[in-house]
Amino acid sequence: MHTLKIDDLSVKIGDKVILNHFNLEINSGETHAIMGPNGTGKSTLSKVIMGNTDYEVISGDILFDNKSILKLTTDERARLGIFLAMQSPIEIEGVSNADFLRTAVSSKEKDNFKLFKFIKELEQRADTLKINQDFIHRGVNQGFSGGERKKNEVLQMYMLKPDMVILDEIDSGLDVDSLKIVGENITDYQKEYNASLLVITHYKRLLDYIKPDFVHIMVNGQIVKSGDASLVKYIEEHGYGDLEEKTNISSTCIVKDILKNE
Amino acid sequence: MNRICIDKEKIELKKVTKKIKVETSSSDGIFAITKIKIDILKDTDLELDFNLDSNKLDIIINLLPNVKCNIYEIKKGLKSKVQYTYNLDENSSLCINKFNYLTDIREMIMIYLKGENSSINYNFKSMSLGNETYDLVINHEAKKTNSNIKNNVINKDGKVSLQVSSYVPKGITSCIVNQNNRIINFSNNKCEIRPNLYIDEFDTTANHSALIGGFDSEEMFYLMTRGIKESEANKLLITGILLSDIDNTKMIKQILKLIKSYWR
Repeated sequence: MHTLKIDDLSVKIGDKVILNHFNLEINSGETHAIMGPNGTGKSTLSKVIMGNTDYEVISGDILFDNKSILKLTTDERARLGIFLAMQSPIEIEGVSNADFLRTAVSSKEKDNFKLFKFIKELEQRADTLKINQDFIHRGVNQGFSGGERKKNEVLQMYMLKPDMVILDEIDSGLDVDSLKIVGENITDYQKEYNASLLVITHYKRLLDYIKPDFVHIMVNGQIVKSGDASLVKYIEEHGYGDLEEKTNISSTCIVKDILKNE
Repeated sequence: MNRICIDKEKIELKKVTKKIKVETSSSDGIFAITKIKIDILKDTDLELDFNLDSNKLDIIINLLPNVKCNIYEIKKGLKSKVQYTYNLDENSSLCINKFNYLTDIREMIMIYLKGENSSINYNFKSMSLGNETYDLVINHEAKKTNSNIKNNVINKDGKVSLQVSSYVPKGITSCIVNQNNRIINFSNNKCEIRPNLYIDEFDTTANHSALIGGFDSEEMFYLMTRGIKESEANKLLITGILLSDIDNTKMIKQILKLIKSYWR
């Protein structure tokens, strides 16, 4: 049983406060979806959980299994079992997918790493995700389409077997068929490993495959409303503007509030 | 594959076919220079394997018309000076994969695209150990010539200077001129790139990029989110840069061995 707890977290980049007293707790096997308008801090949240040094934590804590991970480096957090599937996976020149994944998996498994087992599983997973075998030996994401990059993220997830998976707009750039493959594979993964999922998305279509237990609406760096899957339908019908008005939150008042508390 | 080896003072020609013609000469004394002239007569591959120690080399490579050649070159050893001259006749095509691993090196590289439709792909990599100075001059002397220059240097302890000058005079139309120069600098030592495009002809396509610095923070973050330590991520990215575009298995194996000793 694993728990990721984000406790009253405030984060800034430069002078701009992005996350404001943010709270969230995710347990093993749970699926949490975060939705919200553009520029509200959803991707920042995912990067901060992974320890991106571009962001400064002003206050609060991130706990994994009741231990603070704020002082851990990105790779240490990943080896604890936290995985981020990125919104825009980058290309890495000259480094093949196979070498990259072998280094990553062997970093985690250390002496237990078995090359033959790794190759067999990699090929099998690539087949399941309908990824061409050639891609495994090509540079990381080099020449991949948007959809292929997202499938590659899911392939990496399968190989690394994390306990906590953050999916940052994994549905963007996916066609209908690829969305189905990605959605079903993530759901299967969760069932197999009892993983917890934090799904960041703009659209209902991904949540048709990955059924959320909890849906949170994020506006200007904080959760303004939480509920069950029915909240997704509400957003589809009414948009975020309605919630912004009802909760009376604006970015200006958040920045002022944070600075006052500092 | 044709193979020419230099081990300090000794020159050895191995498996040299009739597709190339090699002439060597050496002068004695304080200004001793070893001269190697290679004429590429027919389509072929050439392997140059140099283990140097205070050598001074003058290497001239001539490509005859309509000839294609791939050169795979590895230089390692101690302080040396090398001058290269590449002459390309019409419709000839030369692809150079060159790798340096020396304590100190000073190179002068002259490329002459003499014949129409001649083209050169110059793919250079180095793992710097000391002072390295490279002065590369590309002369487009005929129409429809193409130069694609890629220099990638990894610098841990040394000091690197890279000057790359491409010339296209007036009247030499339809040329393509590309320069990509990059120094990944892990030290506090000063490194410099001076990319020059001297183009006096409107009908030219030219691109250049120059970068001195570390690896992109986004790349590092991406690798580290997969549990890869910073030092391992650096090694992975270095290996990627140093092996990119090289299609020769033997050369790849040699470079991997050198990277292992360089990045302990």
